[in-house]
Amino acid sequence: MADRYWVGGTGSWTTISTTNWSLFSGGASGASVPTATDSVFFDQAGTYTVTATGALACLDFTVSLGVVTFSEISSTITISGSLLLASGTVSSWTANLGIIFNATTSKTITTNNVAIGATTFNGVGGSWTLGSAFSVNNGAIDLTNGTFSTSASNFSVTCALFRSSNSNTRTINLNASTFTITGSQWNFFTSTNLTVSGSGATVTMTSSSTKTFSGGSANWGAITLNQGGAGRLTITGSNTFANISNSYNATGATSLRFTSGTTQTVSNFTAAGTSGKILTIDSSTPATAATLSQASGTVSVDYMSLQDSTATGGATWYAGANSTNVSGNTGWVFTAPPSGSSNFFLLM
Amino acid sequence: MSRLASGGVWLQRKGLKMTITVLDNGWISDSFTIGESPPYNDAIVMSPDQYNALTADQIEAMKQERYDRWVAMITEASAEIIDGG
Repeated sequence: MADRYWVGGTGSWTTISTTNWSLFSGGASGASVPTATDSVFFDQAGTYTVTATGALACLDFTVSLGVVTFSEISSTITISGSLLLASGTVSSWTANLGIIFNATTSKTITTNNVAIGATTFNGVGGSWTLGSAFSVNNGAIDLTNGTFSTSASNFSVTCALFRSSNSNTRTINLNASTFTITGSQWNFFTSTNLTVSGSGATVTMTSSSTKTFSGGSANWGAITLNQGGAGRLTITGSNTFANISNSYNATGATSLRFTSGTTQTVSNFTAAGTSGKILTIDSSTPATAATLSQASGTVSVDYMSLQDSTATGGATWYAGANSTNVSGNTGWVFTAPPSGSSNFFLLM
Repeated sequence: MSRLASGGVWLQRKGLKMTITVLDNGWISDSFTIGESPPYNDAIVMSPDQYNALTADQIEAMKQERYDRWVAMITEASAEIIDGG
């Protein structure tokens, strides 16, 4: 285990070049290329570009000074340690420069508002905790093995896709964070050996194209699943949620589609439309319903178009006076709730 | 202040909450929250020298810039991604 310091300003980080590596901060170049047991430091003043080339590796990755641009040529960096990009030290990180975190112990990821490339967490027994908000530059986060936690500070996570569909042992601790999914999927289709923890988190799916929340029939009771865009949101699996909501009703019409034959068990259901911005709910196979279940209380929504939806579980489900009963619905009351009912949908 | 961001995500900008801690490596972590629907949680992490060289207004501006970038990121159209997921 050793340290490697980047020197000489702009240059290429390759699997063979020693031109920009030193054994000491600001020292002479010529040190060997870092390996998975060597921590790398970018701690020199100045503005420069590091072009990553090939399959690279290091232990800890720290940028503490200067203003660095990270570009790449067919490169991935495997980081066995922690990642720390000090505030203001990385001007850009190309979207194609992906990172694989493969630690088998606890590590920290602090990116300070730098959106990095597609990121994979794959270390048996590994644990990665955020030290700041975390964004992937229009790409995927893959949780293959280990634990991903947003920390007790509830740091926000932004990516196009979040995927963890496998049978490996893994944990996602959402704490009370906001996960913004800008692309097509939250994919936990196979949720075997998955642990979900946290409380008060929101997963909001903002794409204007169709997108899917594949919950794998897991207990997502820690989260509110929010429809945050115009694209239809399909929910697969029989999942449990704290809430299903629709923030896009401030902007336009949108839709939720549930896989026929599945049941979504919720503590609250506030997904509603507004005047002129209808929320459509239907099922994947016409004439075969999907079920929404809430144990108690009153669900009160409005401006809905409902088809093939069964509402049950003990709660009273009011679709509202301005909703449309298309066909195949059971358990919905197509009126406003009587005065005094709880959980009124509040327009602000 | 509240606003409706382009692309349709409802975002509210309300009072900023912050917590400053010293990390194990001696660096400063200025953790903050902006907004409520949904909240944006982030932290500015830097060395004590760098942090102490900034004025309160400069730190506030950095936080606002981060929030604005995040809003831009989550409201812009996402590129279509082909995958086997």
